[in-house]
Amino acid sequence: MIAYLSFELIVQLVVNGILYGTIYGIAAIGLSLIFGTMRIIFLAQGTMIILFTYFGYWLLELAGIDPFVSLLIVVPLSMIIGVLLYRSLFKESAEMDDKNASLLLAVGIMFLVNNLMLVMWSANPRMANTAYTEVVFSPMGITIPFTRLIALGLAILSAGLLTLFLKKTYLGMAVRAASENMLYATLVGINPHRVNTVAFAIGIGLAGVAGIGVLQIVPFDPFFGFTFALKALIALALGGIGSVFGALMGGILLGLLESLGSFFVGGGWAEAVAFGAFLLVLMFRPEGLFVRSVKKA
Amino acid sequence: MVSTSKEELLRLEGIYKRFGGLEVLQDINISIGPEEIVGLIGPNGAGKTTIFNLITSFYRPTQGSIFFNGKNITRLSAHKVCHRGIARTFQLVRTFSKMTVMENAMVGAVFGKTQIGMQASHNAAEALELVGLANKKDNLVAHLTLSDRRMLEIAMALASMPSLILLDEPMAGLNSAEIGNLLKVIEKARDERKLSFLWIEHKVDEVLDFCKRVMVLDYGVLIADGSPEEIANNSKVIEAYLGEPSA
Repeated sequence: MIAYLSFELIVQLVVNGILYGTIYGIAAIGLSLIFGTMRIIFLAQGTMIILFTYFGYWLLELAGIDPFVSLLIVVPLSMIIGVLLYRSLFKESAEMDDKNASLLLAVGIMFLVNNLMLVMWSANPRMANTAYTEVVFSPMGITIPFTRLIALGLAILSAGLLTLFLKKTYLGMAVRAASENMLYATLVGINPHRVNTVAFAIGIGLAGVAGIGVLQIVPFDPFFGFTFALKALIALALGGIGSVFGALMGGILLGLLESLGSFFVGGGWAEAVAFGAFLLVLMFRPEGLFVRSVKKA
Repeated sequence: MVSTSKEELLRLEGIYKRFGGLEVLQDINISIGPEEIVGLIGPNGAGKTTIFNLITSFYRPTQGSIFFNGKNITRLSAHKVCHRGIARTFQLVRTFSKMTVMENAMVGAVFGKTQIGMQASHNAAEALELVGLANKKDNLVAHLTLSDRRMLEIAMALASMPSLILLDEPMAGLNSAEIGNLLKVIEKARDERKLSFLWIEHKVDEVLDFCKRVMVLDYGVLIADGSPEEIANNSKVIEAYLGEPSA
């Protein structure tokens, strides 16, 4: 295989990695946000993403709505679902010191949604096809699928909007404060339920964005969600928890690892390479690669 | 010494707190008036910080009630107690280190009293001015000295426009120049803002010098409440700090 190796091929692998990794990045940002205020890994994140992929699929198949137009429906809907999830299920457990209750709830949601999807859409892999699914740009011999480029744009746009929200609005400031120390945030007057609700709304909202991103890129089935959550978790560990930029970069790095890993080590090993990198980062730089660690005075 | 005057800001009435079988506070009755600076001293483990945790609703009392401005706040959640006008600082400084000085003060201003816009930035800026951090408002908190972070914590409390501030060992880790500065800020805050302070401190001498009224807690019981002179000559207090005189 080394014999086929050319500069164009390397560039192609890198481009593929980056384009695919951005989807991991969006998922990781959502995980990071919910982890920030709730202090749990929201394991159902991947399953929620695939749920919204199916929503997009339905909107396309049944109503003929273009996937990227359906963002206008799916993202607000997913944010509402995020709010409802927190208000109905997590509100009580969020107040407990023991975070395991919240974590178990997330696992429960994952299995529930997973099986609901099985019932509704069966286990057959699906993929959406539109007029432009097959459209590719070929600058300098490199293939860039249009749909992946759009996904990259979506990722950058949502990361940018989220950063603006966190830096420039009072509510964003409260989310950042609560992520640093929820107890203290509460004592300076921040309503913990309000910031948790915001974290869920945005976190699940990002699952909506990622879900639509997945729709035309890879074949998906209901079980795809769990793998996705694991990937998002790796991306988060690579990038460092608590930074939007870090999570996005972590996702892209993971995409690169998988893309290059599957070529140089073999397709079956791609995930082993990703998990190996995950373990190495946890061993040697547990705070993440893209976070400048602040030393406490 | 439960005062029944109308001039009363905070009242703790028959407060008990147990953790499992451990009785941490027994029948605590405290009353604090407006513009009072009250020192709360006592040996380690006497239950001083527990009183703060009860007032700020971080814990619920096993028995008893807490009134603020004549209203029962015993069962309010922590952020609502803050909205009513009780702010707090911590023994181990708790500021948001990944945010700037101004952002920290803004958090205090916006969420401490749910005020928004110009009013909030005005209050935040004014609080930073009062504690002398106005020139560092764009610095990242992680880069501040301990003394500056302590001041910032007080500024965050002030920005929420409280009527009572609970100070938990504000002098811990500060040198004498910094302590002098801190005392000036506290007096200024009381005079300009008509505030009351309830102040936990390990440094007994400073408290007796500075506060007009001091309370002493020992093993969960309030053993003295009075002027510094009364406290210094109270035999129970001397016993609590120095042990029983050997015969």
